[in-house]
Amino acid sequence: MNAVLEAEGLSKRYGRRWALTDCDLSIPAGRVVGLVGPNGAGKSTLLNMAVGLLPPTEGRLDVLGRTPKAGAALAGVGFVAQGTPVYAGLSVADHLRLGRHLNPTWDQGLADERVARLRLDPAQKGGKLSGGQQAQLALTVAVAKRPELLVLDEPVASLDPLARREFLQGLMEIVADQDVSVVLSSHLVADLERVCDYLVVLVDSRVRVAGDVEELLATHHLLSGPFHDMDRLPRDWEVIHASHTPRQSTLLVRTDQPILDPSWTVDQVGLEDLVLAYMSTGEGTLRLTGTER
Amino acid sequence: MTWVAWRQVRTQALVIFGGLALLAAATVVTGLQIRHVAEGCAATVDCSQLVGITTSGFTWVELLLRGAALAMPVITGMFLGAPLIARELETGTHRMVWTQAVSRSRWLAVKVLVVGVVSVLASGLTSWMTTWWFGPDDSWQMDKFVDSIFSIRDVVPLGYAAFAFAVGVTAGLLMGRVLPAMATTLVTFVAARMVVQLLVRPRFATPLFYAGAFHPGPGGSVKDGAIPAGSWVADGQIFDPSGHPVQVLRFGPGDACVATNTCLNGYTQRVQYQPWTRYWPFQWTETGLFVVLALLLIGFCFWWINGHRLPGRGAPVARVAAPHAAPRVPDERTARDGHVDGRVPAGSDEPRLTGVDR
Repeated sequence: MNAVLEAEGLSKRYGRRWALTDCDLSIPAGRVVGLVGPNGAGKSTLLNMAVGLLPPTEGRLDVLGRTPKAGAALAGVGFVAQGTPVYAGLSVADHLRLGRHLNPTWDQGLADERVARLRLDPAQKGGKLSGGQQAQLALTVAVAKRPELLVLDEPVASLDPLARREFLQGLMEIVADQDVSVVLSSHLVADLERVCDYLVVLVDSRVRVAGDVEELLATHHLLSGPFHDMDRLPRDWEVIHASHTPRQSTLLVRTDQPILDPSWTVDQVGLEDLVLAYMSTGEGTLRLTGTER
Repeated sequence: MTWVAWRQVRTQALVIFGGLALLAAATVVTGLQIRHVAEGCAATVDCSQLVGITTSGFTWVELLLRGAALAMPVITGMFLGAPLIARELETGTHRMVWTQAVSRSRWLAVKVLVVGVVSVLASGLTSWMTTWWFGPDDSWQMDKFVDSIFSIRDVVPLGYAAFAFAVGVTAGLLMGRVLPAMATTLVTFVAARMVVQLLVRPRFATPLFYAGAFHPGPGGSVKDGAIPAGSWVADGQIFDPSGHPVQVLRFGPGDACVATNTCLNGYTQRVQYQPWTRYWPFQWTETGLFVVLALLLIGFCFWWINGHRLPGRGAPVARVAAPHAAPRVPDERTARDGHVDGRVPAGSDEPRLTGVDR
C-alpha cells in the first residue's frame, strides 16, 4: 500500500503539554481520509506538522515520501488551514494571482473555472466574503496548485449547515475530477460521513482506530441481549464498548466472524456511533442505538 | 513573490508617497523663492532677509519638513515594518502563504527587500527635500552639526529608517500582533535614537579642546575664528579671572567696567567641540551604526522564522457552531448536537461556543 502520510512515534510538545504522543499512522494514497477526534486530540497539530508549519518534537513523519521541513517550500501538498484564513485586503483575483506567483504548478484555468462556478466576484475583497466563500476561496487556492495531497484542517467547523454542505460537495467534485488524495479533519463525524472512505480516529493524541469505512462498518456489530459475563465472550471479539444493566448487556464488538450466538440481537452500527464508541473512554457512559439491518 | 510583497504594501506605500509628493510640491515652490533671496543676499552680504523668510515666511513648510524628516523613519517602521510578519501571524494567513511552493526564507527575503526599500526610500526622499530646502539657511547659519539638525539632514535618516523597519519586523515576528509590535517599535526606536544622539555620537571621535580668552561672538559663546566655523560645540565652561568656573555673569549698568567695556577682561573659557570637517565622517558613522543594527535584527528574523515556534495562532479563539444534524432520539448523544466532543455539556439547544483545537 502506497502511503501519502506515514508517522512513526510522532510526538509534539508545546512547552510542558504534549499535544500528540507516540502517534503511529499510515494513510493510504488515493483515498479521502477523515481524521476525527474531539477538540484537543491533536488533529491540527498532526496536520500542521504534515505541511511543515510545525516541527515535530520526536518521531518520524513522511509526507509523499519526504520529511516535511519547517520553512521549506511545499510543492506537492495543498493545505487549507483551520479557520480558512484569506487576506482581508486582497480580492479574489489577487488571491489567485498570489497562488500563481507562488506555485510553479499553478493551474489558472482550474482556479478561474472554480471561481466562476462558485459565483465568486473576482473583485470582491477577501474580508468581505462570507465564511463559506472564504473557505471556498482557500480551497480553490489549495487545489489550483495541483497537489498530490490535499490537507484540510477543520475546513467546515465555522460554517453554517448550507455552506458546510456546499463546501463538502465542492470537495467531492475535486476528488472526482482529479487524481488527488485528501486528508480532512473534523470533530463532527456527520461531516466526514458524506465524503470520506477511510477513517482515522484520534483520541488523546493517539490513533484509536484507522481503516476503510466500509470495512469498519462491516466488522463492527452492536449486540444486545441478556446479561453476559464479559470473560465468556468469543476470543476473536474485540469489545469496543460495553454497557450493562443487571438484566441486559449491550456491546459493540469488532470481529470478522459472523455472530452465531442466538441470544444476541445483532444490529448494524452507524459510523457516528462507531466513532463515539471509540472515543468514549469510560464504560456505560454512552447509550448506543443500532440501526435495523 | 515580488508582486505578492508589493501588492501587500501597495496601499500604505501610495499613502506615504502621495503625502511626500504634496510635501515636495510645497518644498520646491517655497525652496526656489528662498534660493532666489539667498542668491541676492550673497551678492550684497546682507542675509538678514534670509532669516526672516525661513523662520516666518514659510513657517508651515519648515515645520512640516522638520516633522516629516524626524518622524518618517519611525512611521515606516511602525506602519510598514511591524505589520510585515505580525499581520500574517495575527490573521493566520501565514498558514496559507507558508504552505505554497516558496520557502519561508525566500518569502521573507523578498518582503524585507521590497518593503525595506520602500521604507528607506521614503526617509531618503524626506531627508533630501529637507536638506535641499534648508540648504541656504544651513550654509548661512553653519549649524548643521548641532544634534537636532544633524539628525534630519543628509544620510543619517536612511540609517534610522532601516533600523526602525528592522525593529518593526523583529517585534512583529516575536509578538505576532500588530499593535503591540507597533508600540514596541516606537519605544525602541526613540530610545535607540536618544541613546545614540546623547551618548554615542559625541564619542565617535575624541573632541577637540579650545581654551582661551572669552569673547562671546554673534552666533554663540565662542569667539569668532577661535574654532572652525560650523563646528559642533558639545560642552563649554567659563572661568572668572581667579580661575573659578562661573555659571552666570553678573554686571550692572552701574559697574565701572561697562563704560570701558572691560568687564570680560581676564575671563577665560574651555570648549569641547567637534570640528566641521568631521560632519561627513559622523554622518556615515551613525548611518553605518544603524544599518549594522538593522542587518543584525533582520538576520535574527531569518534565523528565527525557520523552525521556531511562532506566536499568533491565527484562528479565532472561539466561534459559534450552528446547531445542525436533526435530533433523532432524545438521548444523551443527540443532546450533544452531534458533537463528538465529550466536554460539551448536554441538554443545550442554543448555538454555543466551541473551542478551536490546535
